[in-house]
Amino acid sequence: MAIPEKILSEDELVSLLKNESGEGIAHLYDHYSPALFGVIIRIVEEQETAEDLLQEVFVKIWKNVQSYDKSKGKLYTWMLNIARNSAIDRLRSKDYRISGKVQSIDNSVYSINKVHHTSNNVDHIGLKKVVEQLTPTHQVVIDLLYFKGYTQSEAAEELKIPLGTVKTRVKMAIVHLRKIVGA
Amino acid sequence: MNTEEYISSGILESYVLGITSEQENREVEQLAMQHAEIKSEIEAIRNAMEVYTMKHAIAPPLHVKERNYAQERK
Repeated sequence: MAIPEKILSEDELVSLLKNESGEGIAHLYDHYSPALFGVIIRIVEEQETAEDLLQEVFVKIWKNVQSYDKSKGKLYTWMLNIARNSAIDRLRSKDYRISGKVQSIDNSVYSINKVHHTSNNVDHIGLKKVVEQLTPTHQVVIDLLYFKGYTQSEAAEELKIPLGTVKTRVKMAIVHLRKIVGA
Repeated sequence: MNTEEYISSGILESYVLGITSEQENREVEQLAMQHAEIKSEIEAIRNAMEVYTMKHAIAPPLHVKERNYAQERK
């Protein structure tokens, strides 16, 4: 694990990026690429596509950082939206068939769990507090809605459960998640 | 409007997950400006989702980083 030379606050990082500083760009990549790559690969489930998208996402971040407005939310939220939207757009453009989506999610959860997690890279965010997993029922709902861009009705259809149950599970999943992360 | 009921309705979770309609988004954002409890609830949900994404962090291979730097210099 590379030890960061110094810890930058989000504000400091943003002003470095807005000044097109090389240090800012390096810091951004070193600290956020694992989290963004994790999200992207979970959505597209394909290594090469994910690598491609990660690069695209960083280019978008650099090109648009001038328009990032701190009053509207954290830098990470903003970057996460760029990553998620780009990946979901790609997924849709490839016209993935509706059928088999759930199965592929199961597979991806399985394969991602096998991958060595680079949690050390994000230690400073307090990740160690996260010790538990979501239950599979909760995880699948979050995956469909958050990572796959399904609507609640689509998720209900896919999981063959009533819409009301999807809504309850979303709520419960996040309640549980908040307990886990202490938020 | 009862803020507590609104918070427990589940709409804020849906909002953070990005699955609410344009109209619902405007409603949520409007209410968040008026009620501090709703705003802080949204932030707490968002924070939980973000920690969840960080939990699934995976380091990309080194060649992606190199490609990125090459791109940046263009």
